[in-house]
Amino acid sequence: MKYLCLLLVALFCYTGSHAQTDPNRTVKTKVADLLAQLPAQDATSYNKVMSELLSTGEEGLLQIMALYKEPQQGDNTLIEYAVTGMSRYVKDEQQRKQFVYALLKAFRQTSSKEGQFYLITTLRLVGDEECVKPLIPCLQDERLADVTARTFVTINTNNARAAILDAMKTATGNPLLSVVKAAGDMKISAAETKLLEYVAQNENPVLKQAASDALAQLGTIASLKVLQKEAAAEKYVYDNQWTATEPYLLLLNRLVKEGNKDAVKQAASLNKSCNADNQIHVKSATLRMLVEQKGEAGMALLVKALKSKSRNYRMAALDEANVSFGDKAEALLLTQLNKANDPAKVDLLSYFGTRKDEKAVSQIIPLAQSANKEVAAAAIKALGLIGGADACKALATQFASEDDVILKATEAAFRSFKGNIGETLLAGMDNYSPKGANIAIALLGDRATVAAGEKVFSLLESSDAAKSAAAFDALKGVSQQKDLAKLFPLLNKQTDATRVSAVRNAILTGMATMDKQAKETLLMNEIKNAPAARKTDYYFLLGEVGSTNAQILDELFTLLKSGNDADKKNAVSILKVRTDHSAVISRSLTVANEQKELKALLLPVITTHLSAGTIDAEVAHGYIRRAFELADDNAVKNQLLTLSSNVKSLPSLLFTAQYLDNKDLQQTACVTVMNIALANPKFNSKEVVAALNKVLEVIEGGDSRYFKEAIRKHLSTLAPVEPFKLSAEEQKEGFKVLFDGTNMDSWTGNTAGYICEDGAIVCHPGAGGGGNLYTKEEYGNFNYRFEFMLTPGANNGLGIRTPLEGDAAYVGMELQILDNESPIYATLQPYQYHGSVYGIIPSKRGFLKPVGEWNTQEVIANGNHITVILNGTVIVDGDIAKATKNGTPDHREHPGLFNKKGHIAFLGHGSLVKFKNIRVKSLK
Amino acid sequence: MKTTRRGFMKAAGAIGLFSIVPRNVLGGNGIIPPSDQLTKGIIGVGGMGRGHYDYAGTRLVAVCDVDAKHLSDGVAAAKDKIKGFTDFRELIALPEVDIVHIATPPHWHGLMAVEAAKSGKDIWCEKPMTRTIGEGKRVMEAVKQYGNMFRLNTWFRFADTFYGMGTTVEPIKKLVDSGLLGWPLTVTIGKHTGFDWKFYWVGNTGLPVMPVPAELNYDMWLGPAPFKPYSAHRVHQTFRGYWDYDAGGLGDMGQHYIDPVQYFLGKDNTSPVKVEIDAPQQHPDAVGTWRKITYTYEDGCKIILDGAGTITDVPYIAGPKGNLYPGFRSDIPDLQRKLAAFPDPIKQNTDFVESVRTREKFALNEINGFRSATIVNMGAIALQLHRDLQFDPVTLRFIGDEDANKLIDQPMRGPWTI
Repeated sequence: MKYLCLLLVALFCYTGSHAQTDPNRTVKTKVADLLAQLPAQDATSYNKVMSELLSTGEEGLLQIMALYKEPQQGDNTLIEYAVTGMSRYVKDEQQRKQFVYALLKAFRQTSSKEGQFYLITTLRLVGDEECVKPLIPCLQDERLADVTARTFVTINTNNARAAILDAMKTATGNPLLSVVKAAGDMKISAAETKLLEYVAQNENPVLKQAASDALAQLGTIASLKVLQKEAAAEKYVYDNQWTATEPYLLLLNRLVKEGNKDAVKQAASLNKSCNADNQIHVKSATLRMLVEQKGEAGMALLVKALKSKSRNYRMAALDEANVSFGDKAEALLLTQLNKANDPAKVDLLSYFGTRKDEKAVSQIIPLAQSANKEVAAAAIKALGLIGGADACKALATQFASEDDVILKATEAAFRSFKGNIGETLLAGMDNYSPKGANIAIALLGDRATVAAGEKVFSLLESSDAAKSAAAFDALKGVSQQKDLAKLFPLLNKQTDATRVSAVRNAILTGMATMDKQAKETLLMNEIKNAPAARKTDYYFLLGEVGSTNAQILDELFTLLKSGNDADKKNAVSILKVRTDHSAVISRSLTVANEQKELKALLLPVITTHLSAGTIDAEVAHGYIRRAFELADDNAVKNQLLTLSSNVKSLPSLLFTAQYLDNKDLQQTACVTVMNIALANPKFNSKEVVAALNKVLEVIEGGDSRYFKEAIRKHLSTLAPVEPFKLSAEEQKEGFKVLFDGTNMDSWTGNTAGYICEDGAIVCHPGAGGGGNLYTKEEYGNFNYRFEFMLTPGANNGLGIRTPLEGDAAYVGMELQILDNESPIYATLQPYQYHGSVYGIIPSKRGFLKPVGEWNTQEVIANGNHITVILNGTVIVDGDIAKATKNGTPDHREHPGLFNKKGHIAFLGHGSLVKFKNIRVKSLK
Repeated sequence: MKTTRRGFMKAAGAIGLFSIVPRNVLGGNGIIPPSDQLTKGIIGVGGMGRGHYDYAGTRLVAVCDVDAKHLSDGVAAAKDKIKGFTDFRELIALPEVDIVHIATPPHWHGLMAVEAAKSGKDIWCEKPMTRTIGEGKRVMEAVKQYGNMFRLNTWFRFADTFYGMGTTVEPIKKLVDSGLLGWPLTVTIGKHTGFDWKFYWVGNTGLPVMPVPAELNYDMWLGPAPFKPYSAHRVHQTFRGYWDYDAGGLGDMGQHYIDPVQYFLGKDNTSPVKVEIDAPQQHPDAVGTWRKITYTYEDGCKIILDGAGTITDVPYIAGPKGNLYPGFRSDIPDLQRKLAAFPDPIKQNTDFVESVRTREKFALNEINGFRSATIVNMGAIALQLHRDLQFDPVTLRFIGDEDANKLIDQPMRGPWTI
């Protein structure tokens, strides 16, 4: 908002040396306050601010406009929001007048040309008669003439019109063009004479054109004669850079509408003479003029037009009939249908179809049998559009034909035919040609005509291969629940893949009205009767009805592992349709890891299920990561990175960001990183910002420009993390910050699984490969302070004096971090609960905050003395030597218990836990 | 008299040589010999225009651009030798151009479409159809008068997978027509139903004044738009951010997203009667963002544009009897089977080359295209005035709001006229 500051400074400077008691100061302050609220963010505040701005009256407006600068010298944004805002808000006549007078005064006072331009633009919206006189001089001004003329056009009072007329005598150059145009827009008939002068000259073709265009709006028969000459010279074609034909035609149209006899005569003559192919549009235009002028009598002209050789012309005439005469033309045109030649018949049929004219049906029906294919096809199309029982029957008879054109048209007509076509189609079946019959069967299936069930079943065994194929295909449309008894045995009999698929679909249709449990039960029963070759079809059906039967899942994986190629393929397609997404994915990942040769088959299964999108984000990310490790080719990797886009978590973003430098995966990675980041403004860490900047660098493609804008805007809105700062006391004591919320610089180890997110270190179970997070430095005796938040059942640990490898509880020391209250930990040993030196010294329990809240903890390790203070209460205060005098309480070896120094760590990776505000002080 | 190739084709349409039966009915390998191809000229080859050089059955013969560099790049990018122009009227006048393709920023669309209509050419226009409602009316008039074929270049109502739905619009139309969802319907278009409003097309205020680059004819680039001092952000890739030329993300994506909705709601011949907005105040020159725009039709159907992306958990189409979600999921059990019993939507004319031959209107033409552009433009007007508005779909005027009506017809900079 830098322009706001400059403006406000300017406003306050303006007060100069005025005394404190200057009444103007109140207005200035008010204006400054109001401008500071712009642009208004919603309707309420807009209305309030505009109303108050308007109430500052002339004084306020003048102050605002006094600050307007030429665009090279300053930013007028706030002024424009204020003034245009007011102009659009202003309500009653009194307020409007007051506002307009203020604008006019500002206009007089402003020395900025652009400011004047801006004010006139504003006046166009709110001004009226009162603006005319003050703005007249602007009609001569190079910069302002255009906007002033347009304003006068909008105002359109007598004085405005007079001013334009006047200006035509004195303006020159571009201002003259604007004035001429305004005269036309306002239809100032008194301008005709002057305009004709401009048309007569040829030195200035731009002016000639502008004047012609204006005459088209306001001219009388005098202009018509002049323009006609010019247009005739062009042969009524849009041929030159400047054309007279259009203004002539526009004017002709106007005058014909008024009933001017000369105009009508000209239009008729033009209509007759314009027959060249580049004049047909003129012929059409004049036809329409004449027809509309004549009213119903004009319909005769349309009939005549049907005899033309030009399709463009005939169709224009029919469009006119449709648009201007509606039902009235239908009867007349119907009488022409049989008389017309074939091309005209085609056009008429199109017309009747568009109009859905039922009365035409009886005449159209015989045309469907025309020897001329175009006509027949057009007739069939029309019948389809018109609809009705007669049309339906007539169309059905077309299936007797062998001709592909006819059959295709008939099929299309039936597909969108409204109403019940099944009965009619079925009734005529015996008369259809073989090709026709097959199409009819397909239609019966597609329109789910259950009445055709018996017929379709009877055709399954037809000796005609095409017919039986059509019948099988139609099964899925016509089957009902009662047919299931036939369908299962039918399935069991089939060996051909297409037929198997057809019967399967039919079974699904047959079961459609049953509830899920009943479907599953039925299938589990029927599978017992299935031959070995068809068992997988039942697995498929079970998958389709949403069965998540675990046994079947096992069978599928057995098939996959040990079956032949066909079995493997089947297993894969069935695995894809199952709905137990997580189970299928995790099984697939395991199997693919064990038997790498099955990778290629299983990765598509995994990606299909990942797309289902109902899996928890942490879990999904874990799956994606594991699948990625398996993937060999870039196509799959890109697919997985795209799927990551739906997992809008930070681990998912950071994982994807790793590939921003990989040329083969880069673009997908860019889009995913962007999508995740932009959906989560809370992801504001260093790593996220770096990733977004990388995307800006490397993203390419059609939308990349606008994506970059989006990312830049997003980056500018990211709230920077407030870094954790030591208290004055801790600073004095010499504490060092290990984690301030903004970076992981002091840490090493599993930095993929422990990430900096929203000001905390978050352990994400699904992210990274596993392992602990360690401080880079080692510490001997120290005071370590931090905060942590648990999730239900959380289990983590604070390792101290530990090396970078190995189980810290034994090669160093672990202070347990645990959700004590979780029922799964009800029966642990005392030295296993939160805060305990694990296996060595038990902690006091009952001092953790509820899961989801932040706890503070302090750990003091001084030689063998270990103290743990949780939320202000000492829960461990013991000596590890004393505690192990008689052996370790957990009877395990703790070789690292007495290490003098080591790293501090967060241990384990199974739960989502958060840490923040971590600092440490070394003790002597 | 120049006999155009096209004229020959039209005359021959009567009998013999050249049949009007559509290619797809005749069969064959679908390859059209060059002599039978329609030709086109593209106006505006800086961005979108260059993506349209190929369209089955057409051959590029000319391009036009007001930026000399774009023009030379555009000419060079063509496979064959083509003509280059800086004045679009010369391109339109070329006898060998059958189809004029308008790929300029929106403030030129209306004017150029009318010019092309006047010349008798057929027209292919980029979306949004026109920048103002008034220009749209004029385009409809001109096309009707001269009998041209007009197509608008958004296609989702008849082709391509429709954003988050995973299907084309056809099954959606079938579902709506079947009545299984009930009536009236509410459609929500936003992030959670699969649509991105591209708010990054916002304009900048306080634009620095810059010298006009030597290769750009700024006066012609502006055309009918008001003259404002040149600044690079106004032109070429970022013009969408300025009300004088377009309407931001609403203008860019509006017709793509809204036209199919208009189609499947069966509202191709009417307009909403109310538009309500929730947005920050708009700057008079630079387009900003908005949170929500709601359109309501007379019969209660609603189209909600969710710009802020805050409307979650909502179906794409909500009806009293059932809902449709992205991915064509529904809460109507056994939907696919129930739908099968209903007719498919009427096949639309989706091949412009066919439209040009048969003179039957293209699927998305000047009339239904005008209506979906009007929805976009109503929203733009409401945003600029910062208030809700009521509209009369028959007179095409706002009710009780003269300020809004002043934005329907915005007089063009002289000498440009439409």
